[in-house]
Amino acid sequence: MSSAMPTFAGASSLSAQPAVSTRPRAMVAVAMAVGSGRAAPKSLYQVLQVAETATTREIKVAYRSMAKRLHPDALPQGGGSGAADFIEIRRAYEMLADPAARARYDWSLSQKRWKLPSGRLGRSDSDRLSARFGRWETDQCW
Amino acid sequence: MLGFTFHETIVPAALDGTRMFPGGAPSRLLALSRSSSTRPATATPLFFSTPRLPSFWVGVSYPTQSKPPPHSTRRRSSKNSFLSISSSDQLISDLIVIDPRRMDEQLYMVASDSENTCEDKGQSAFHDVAVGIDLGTSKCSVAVWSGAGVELLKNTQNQKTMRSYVMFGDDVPVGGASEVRAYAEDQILSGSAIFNVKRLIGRSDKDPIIHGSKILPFLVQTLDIGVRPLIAALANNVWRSITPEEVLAIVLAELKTMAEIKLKRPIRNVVLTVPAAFSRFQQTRVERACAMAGLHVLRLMPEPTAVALLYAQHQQQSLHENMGSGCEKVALIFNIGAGYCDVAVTATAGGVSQIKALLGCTLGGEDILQNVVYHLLPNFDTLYPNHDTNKIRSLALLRIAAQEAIHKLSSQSSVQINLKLPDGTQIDKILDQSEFEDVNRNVFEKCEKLVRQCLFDHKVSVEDIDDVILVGGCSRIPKIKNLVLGICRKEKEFNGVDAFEAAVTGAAIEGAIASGVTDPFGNLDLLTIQATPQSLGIRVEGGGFVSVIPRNTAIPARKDMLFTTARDDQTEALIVVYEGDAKCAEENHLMGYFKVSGIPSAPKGTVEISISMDIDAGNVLRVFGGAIVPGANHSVTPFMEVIMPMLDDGHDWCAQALVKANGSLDVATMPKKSQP
Repeated sequence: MSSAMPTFAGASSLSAQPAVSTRPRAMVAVAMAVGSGRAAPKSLYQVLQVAETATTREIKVAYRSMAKRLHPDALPQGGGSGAADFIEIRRAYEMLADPAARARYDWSLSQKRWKLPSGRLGRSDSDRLSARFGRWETDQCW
Repeated sequence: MLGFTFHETIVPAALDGTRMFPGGAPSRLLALSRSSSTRPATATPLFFSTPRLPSFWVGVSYPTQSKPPPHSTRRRSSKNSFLSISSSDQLISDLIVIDPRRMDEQLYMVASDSENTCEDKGQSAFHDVAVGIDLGTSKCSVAVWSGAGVELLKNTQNQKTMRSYVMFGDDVPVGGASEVRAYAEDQILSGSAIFNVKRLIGRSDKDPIIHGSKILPFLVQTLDIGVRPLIAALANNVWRSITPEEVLAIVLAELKTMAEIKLKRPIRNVVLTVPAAFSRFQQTRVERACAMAGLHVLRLMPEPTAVALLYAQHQQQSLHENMGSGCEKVALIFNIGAGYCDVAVTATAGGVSQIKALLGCTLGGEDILQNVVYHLLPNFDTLYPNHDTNKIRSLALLRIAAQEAIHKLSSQSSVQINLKLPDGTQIDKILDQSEFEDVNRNVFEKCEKLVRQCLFDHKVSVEDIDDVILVGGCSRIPKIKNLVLGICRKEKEFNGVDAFEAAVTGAAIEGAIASGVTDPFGNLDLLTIQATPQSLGIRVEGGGFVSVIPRNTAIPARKDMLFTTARDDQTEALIVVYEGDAKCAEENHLMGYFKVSGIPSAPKGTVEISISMDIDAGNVLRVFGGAIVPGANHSVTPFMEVIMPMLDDGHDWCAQALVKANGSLDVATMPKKSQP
């Protein structure tokens, strides 16, 4: 389901052009393996270890306490998986701490959860959906 | 270019600790001694002379018998072979400059126990704690975590902050930190001393800051072709050239010596503050200067983020009971020193300080000083067209008068200036506050713009700002203080930090954290999440700049973006990496370039070229690039991985050549919707 996983923001400086892409998003395989090796992609709430009903404040607290553990500066030398864990929680946090982005994410999550397994909404639909809502993340929100 | 000399001329025999004495050594010799694990580090002198300082010897010795600290390369992996010298287990603890004729006088025999003022018990537990150095344009200072708090180290003159200059008199080069004999201001301004190096380092001779520096007493010569400017000090009536890196290295080496005397241990690891406006290229120059001085940089911290760390510690201490409850404090930090001005917005809670926006520019007391000098003598340039002794003396007098006036205007409403220049020109002027503000309107306007831009980047209104922290020498100027407080609609500035010591204190805290020191009271249970002060991106077709990692992205960061070919059947693409925020690539700082080859032949706009940028926790930037097969997850050819900045000097000149020679290898942007 790499097509449904948000990867990176950062296209903000590009001019908007008509979207035609319905193919799966190409993931770059070089050392970019955030979250690779996991059986199923975690939801952003699972990444931050908060309930889906968590308040923004709870999300901030969870992010901060996890940052203190997972930031490469806080890790002992050679321990942990380096920056990947921090980047993952950072990405989850940036999305969930922004109410608008979180609402979009919640909605897409519910779509995926209820429609996709039944097969009534195919890949092209989910892609259309993400195309319609554009980027899932904001650049910076905290 | 001392750095390269260092690297290229390592004498193998010297590597096993052979002593080299100047009497028997050829005049251009570099020897490097290192302590191996089998031999304790005893006083092992190291001598080398630089081609730039032909008549002096630079010696490195071990003044103490203490054990070398276990080497810690946790933060910053070596970026190049030069730096890897300094991150090996060699222990250079003391770089001093010695005239060979006076060797037997043992100028710097330092390990005398009686003059040590630090409590030994506290020190023993912190034997390898990194020191924090604030290397300012005008002043510098060193601080270290001493167990209970941060202690600022004083030099022999009992000064906590020392002038950053190196004097090339008829004797040995001496910096402000050692102050063997204190130089008066007019001696420093006689052309024999180099100062303001932080404004000069890592800039090409087309840079307006370099051109503005031609008004300084020492020589700044430019060719305006995009190469390194020539900088020279007047010694024995000869302009002797030196590089900014070497000047910085001498200053750093003196600070290192000073700290070693005080702490009675070798110093190797440092946390250095740098302006937020420093490009990555400039940062590599500072790292090189540190390596020359035998220092290993654990972290280069933008100055306001060091202050943010100190602020986070304050919050931690005062809100201990609320810890972790998400009680978030937002502070605007405004730092203006002699050379640079930085603004940061930080959100702090539970000891985690998150830099939300960071911005800087080359603006400071030097600009104010130059404005006042030109105000006092508007036709200064026509009166003294050449860089002769007359000009230097007049300039020195003007600078001293202007400096005094600016200082006085911080506390009084007007100041009288009476000055007689060597050629008989008499200046009598009363400079009042409003005139001063008028003269420096450009400076204040820039400050205002910078603060507003930073607030805009942060996307939060001024009502959300809890504290305004003003640090740096020029933050004491009433107009600047009122201006920043006015924008933030605050009555008072945050009074918990010292305007002159905040940055170095923050650096020392970071040094302790980075060295793995823990504090039972939780005073070091802190984390700073840094942000990129400038956007990082590549050049696209037509000379535009597309940022891959935008400004104010949290570090560590990793982003990728798809590009495509600009021409039909294009099989190679030139990726030119820039740093900056201008829309036109050429206005940004060139960091490096590489070619992606083996692109399958296809109509333009159909091939996908993936560019990924990765900044690790040590702030090392890696750029990955390669053509990928559409719809598949693998690349056509192996990806390229390049550490940036990869360029050495002459980057400005290189940028022009690149554009001229390789226009047909452009890349183009992909539609927004097909971005990953």
